[in-house]
Amino acid sequence: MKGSIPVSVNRDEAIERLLGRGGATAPQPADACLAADTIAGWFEGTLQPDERAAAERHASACDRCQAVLAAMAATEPAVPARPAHGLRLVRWLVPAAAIAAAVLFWVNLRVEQPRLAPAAPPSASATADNRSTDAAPSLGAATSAPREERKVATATVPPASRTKPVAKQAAPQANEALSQLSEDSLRAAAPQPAQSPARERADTLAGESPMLGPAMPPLQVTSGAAVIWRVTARDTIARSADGGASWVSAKLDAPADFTAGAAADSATVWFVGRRGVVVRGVGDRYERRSIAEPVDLVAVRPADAMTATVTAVDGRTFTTRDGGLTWLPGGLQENPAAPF
Amino acid sequence: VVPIPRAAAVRLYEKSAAARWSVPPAALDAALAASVARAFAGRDPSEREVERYLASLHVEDLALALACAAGHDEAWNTFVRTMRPGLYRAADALDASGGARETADALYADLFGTRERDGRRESLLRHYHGRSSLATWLRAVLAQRHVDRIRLARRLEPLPEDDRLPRAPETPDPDRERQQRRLQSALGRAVAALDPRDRLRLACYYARQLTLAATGRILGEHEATVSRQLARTRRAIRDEVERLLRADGLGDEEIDECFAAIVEDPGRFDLGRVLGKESVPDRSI
Repeated sequence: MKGSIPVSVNRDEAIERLLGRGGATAPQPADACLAADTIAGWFEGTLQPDERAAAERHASACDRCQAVLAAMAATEPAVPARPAHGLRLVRWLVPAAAIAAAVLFWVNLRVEQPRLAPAAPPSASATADNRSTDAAPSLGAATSAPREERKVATATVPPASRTKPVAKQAAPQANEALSQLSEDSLRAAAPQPAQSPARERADTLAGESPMLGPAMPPLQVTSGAAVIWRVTARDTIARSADGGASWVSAKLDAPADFTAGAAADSATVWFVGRRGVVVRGVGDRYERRSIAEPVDLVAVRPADAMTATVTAVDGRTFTTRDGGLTWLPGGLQENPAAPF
Repeated sequence: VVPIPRAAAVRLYEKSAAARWSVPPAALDAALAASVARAFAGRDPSEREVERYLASLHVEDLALALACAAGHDEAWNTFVRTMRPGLYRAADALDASGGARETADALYADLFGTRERDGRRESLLRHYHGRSSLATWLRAVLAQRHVDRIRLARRLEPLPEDDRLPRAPETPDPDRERQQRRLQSALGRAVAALDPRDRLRLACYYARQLTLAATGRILGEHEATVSRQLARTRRAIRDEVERLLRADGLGDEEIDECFAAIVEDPGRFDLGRVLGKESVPDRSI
């Protein structure tokens, strides 16, 4: 038995994995569901504090009310994201950023080009650090390399002309959530099918060819020995937590032409692509975190799950410290005093 | 019944433009009193609390709803003209294929009140108390109807054929199965012990698979805050799971084995089931 236990166990990943299996399976507390005027007051912020607390207590255990809240969230008029800082700061930041960008442009011309110049590795795969966020030390890997020896992902992707357009999917979040209501109930009620890893892998690999063409290997990112992310289509990323034996595919909200990717840790991955596309994945969930400019991105260097620097084709860099919600020009080293 | 201060009643009647729809002051007073009673159910609010609450009400919408419920033609036309576009936008956001529009259209019959009770039309609008805008209340009613419709349809779907039923995975290793059960049980207890708000956040993000942004809209938090709070909750869960396993007499190596068993095969853990029990049909509005 013990012989089959991995040397290092990422407990955080195990927790994430278990939570990620949560299906909406109709829990229902004893008290009555939230009334329409309570739900409306919830979203307009007019509930009394004790009412709000009671409503949250109920909703935390009620499948139906969670679904209704999700539907409400999906039907709210879109509100443009607020800038992270006040306008005054932006006014101050713009000229400073322009100067920094000009300097960085020259710096990157000299630094980035030699790094990107070598031919892509045979598998075009990217290796991220084996840094463990786990408190439990790894018996074998802990002594193998110091933290500073992080290898950052660089990879190439086929030109746009080879890619096959994929219909944009615009399914509302609520329907995604609602569509699980009974499927998950049925799934949870019955034992999970034992899916053949070989079959699942074959399915995944079969999906690669339309996007990548025969000559181009898929864009792939690894973290340690076990976790692998692979772009299997313009709108699909697959993840394996067992070294490629089995894969879980996830559809993105829209297709993109990815150019590079890198893992921040065994649970978090960053992918960048053309026209400013940035996608951040946590576990098997992927969310778009694109930069404002539609410039082609060629590299990404994550520092951790929330912090990453992307490099544009013209050498400029952009950094986020909040998981990609806001991006500011400059790299982490180049602009350490940037007021995030 | 909490009495409505006379001065406030007069001021709100004027503000609501209820006279435009021929809504008598007594009808608005009764609606205000019902709204106050509902908001402060089981409590005895001070006059100041009542004043503040009354000032926050959407009294113009309340007057319109009262007029529509009473069968005022012009009010009804105004209601339909002003509310329908927003309702349809919400319906399209829920279901782009048009299914929710049917639900929205069906809603109008209940809003108008096609049924009678004791000689009075039973309009759904009588359940509107002015605590939010009429448009948001309508969205909430639509969301409830849409969810109920989907839940009902799912319940009526036939079960898959026998050969498509998921089969029990083969678990030749009883040790591993026991480790999975131990960790799942500890995780269940750790989640159950969380603060309701943390559990709701987990439910939205993991059980309902909402994005950080949508979860944030429900919790009233920025998505970066949601992300941080989820990370904090995961850490708390992990610490609690480890504590519980240690309390069960497991050592570090055995705890590692439990986590490893879960990484290999998460088994039948279902966060939704941990968060509550089986649902029963219900009845709100």
